[in-house]
Amino acid sequence: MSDELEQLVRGTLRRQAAEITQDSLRHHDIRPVRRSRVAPVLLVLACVVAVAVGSVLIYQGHTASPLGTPPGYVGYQWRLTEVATGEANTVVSQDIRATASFFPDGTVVLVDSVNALTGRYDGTATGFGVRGIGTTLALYDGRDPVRLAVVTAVDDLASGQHVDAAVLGETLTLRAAGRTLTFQQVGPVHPSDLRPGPSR
Amino acid sequence: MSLPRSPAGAAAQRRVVPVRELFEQHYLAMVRIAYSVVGDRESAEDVVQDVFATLQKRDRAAGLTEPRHYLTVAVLNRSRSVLRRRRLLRRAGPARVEHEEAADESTIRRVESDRVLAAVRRLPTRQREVVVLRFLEDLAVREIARVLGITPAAASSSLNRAMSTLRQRLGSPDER
Repeated sequence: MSDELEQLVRGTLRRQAAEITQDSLRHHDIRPVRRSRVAPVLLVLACVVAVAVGSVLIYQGHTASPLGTPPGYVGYQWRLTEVATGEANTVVSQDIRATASFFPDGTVVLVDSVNALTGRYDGTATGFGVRGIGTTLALYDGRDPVRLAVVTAVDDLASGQHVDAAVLGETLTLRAAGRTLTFQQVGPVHPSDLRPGPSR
Repeated sequence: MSLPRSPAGAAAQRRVVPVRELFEQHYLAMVRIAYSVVGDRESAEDVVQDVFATLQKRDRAAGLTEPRHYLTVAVLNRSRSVLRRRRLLRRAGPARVEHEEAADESTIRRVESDRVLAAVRRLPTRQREVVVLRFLEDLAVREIARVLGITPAAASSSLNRAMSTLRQRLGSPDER
């Protein structure tokens, strides 16, 4: 019976195949590849979306991180090196201690060279906002224009307004209140950054 | 029958067969294989056309040492895609066995053919491919395994399961 079944299947498949003859074929040559009109449009759209998403991620500091990971500035202390306004750029020398430390638990410590401001930062799509600031209460009665520019700029970061943040390599750029503050990475945050004191 | 291989060590002397020539040599046979798997002529020709178009576009023919083997594998792969797409669109319809009038011998044969083809088409894809390669292409189990990229034992097992299923569905010759 097995042979009979095999013969039956073989015969049937071959009879069916034989129905297709050279003459009955629809094509007698290789037809050109069909090109979809939709594919190029989808490709362009995909590129636009990829560029947009990439820009947002880079601007947030997610330069190489997947969505859902912390922004690139978190976990590091950053030293302020320049304050730029529409009118002037102020280079901050290393002897002026002005830093921003972003702890993974949401604590931020801003040092404006005179006082240390401690509060919480909340990440947003393009940066962060600072709230609940407490500060040391030292006074500065000097006239150093660089120090005054630094104090004003850093204190503005703590004023509760939205701050745009971007990390590129070891450079952090913050924009708020018409100013652009440029920081250089010092290193990972350390518990001692939570206490005002001499610069590391 | 086995799929022709190039002689060992003859690579240097191997003639590069243009895709057009491969088309003329194998198109009909490949359409028949595809037809046995996908079950309709239009889809079968589309499958084989796509294979040759891709071959031509990529200019792959130059690297083919076993064109027939390559084409069979490619045709089966694309046939599988057709079947998958079809399954997504709709569940396979009932077998086309609707000839009820008593008729002459050719009609009876047609009815029986339809029953067999319907039973083959209801086999799982892998088993269907094994049956087509075994009984249409007359390939040995070892060759079937090579085309499908599986072990000879797996090919043999698929063939046995397929035949067992067909036996159940078609009944013994006496019952037919």
